[in-house]
Amino acid sequence: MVMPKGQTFDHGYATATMGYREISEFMTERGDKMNHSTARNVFMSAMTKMSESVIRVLGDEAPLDPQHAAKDPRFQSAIESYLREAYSKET
Amino acid sequence: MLDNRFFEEVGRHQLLSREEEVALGRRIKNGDQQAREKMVLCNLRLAVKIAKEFYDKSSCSLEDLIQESNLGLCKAVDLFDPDRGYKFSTYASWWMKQRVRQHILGNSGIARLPGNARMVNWQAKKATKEYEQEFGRTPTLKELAGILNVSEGLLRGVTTCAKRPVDLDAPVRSADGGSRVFHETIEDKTTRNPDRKIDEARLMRAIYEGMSSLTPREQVVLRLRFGLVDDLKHDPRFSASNLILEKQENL
Repeated sequence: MVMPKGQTFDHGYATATMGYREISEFMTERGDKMNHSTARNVFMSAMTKMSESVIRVLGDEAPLDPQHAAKDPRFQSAIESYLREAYSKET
Repeated sequence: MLDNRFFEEVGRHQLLSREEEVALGRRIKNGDQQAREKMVLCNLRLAVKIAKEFYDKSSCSLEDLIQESNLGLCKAVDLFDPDRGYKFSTYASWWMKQRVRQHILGNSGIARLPGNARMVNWQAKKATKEYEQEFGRTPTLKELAGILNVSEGLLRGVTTCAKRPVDLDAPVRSADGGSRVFHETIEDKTTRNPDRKIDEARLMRAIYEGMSSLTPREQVVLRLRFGLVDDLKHDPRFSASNLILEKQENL
């Protein structure tokens, strides 16, 4: 069975357009050599920064642990939809 | 408009005893018009009572409902068989209710429906009620059509035509005694909730702030992960040289 691209969490898999292996291959081709684990670490670091920013703005309404929020597939898909909206406005 | 005189007139006629009913019934069977008239007049009270019962549940006028109930009463008088042993009121009430129901069904929708369509509508309502009691949810159009053994198109048409029209300019009662009309209370689904709009704007601000705090490398990985890569290859900020430079800075 083909598993969805993403990681398991309390709320299932966070699906994504590109897997970590594909990301690492893309980055390696462009001169930034990295493996799939590094790609995941960089992605999680980016998500943690995003969640910190959200927590700062929303205050008490947001979950308190940025790292936990960053791993949550629901948070990831919410960020994805907002980013998509932001990019569609820009282009 | 009905006035008190009508109701006084109706109340003037005494109720019939069981024996009187049988005697009148036999005379009616033999073609006695006076007996027929007496039977009708003495049961007008019942006709009014039944019409009033339905008046509260319908949008028809009381006069019309009494008229229909009276027609049902006349039919019952003509068909009553006193030798069967049951009371006239028991028998007649079915005819009166049937006439009143038919009138209400025929006059309550957007269009006047033919008898068979009204029957489908009535069966659909009944089946929906039973289905909800058994399964705890409203049946879909397909399920309901299957239960009634009719086509989905027919069922859709009948239920749509049987819907009651709404007066958009009718005043709406409110706790503060306001004078708003119905169309003013209808939600505009094309406009977004202002609270939600504010929350979304705050979130969007957080997203922009978050994105600006990311390194180019993190931005590229994030965008690759979410498939936001249309302009990535042509963006100078994410060129190979920039990324390598950033990597070297981090080492």
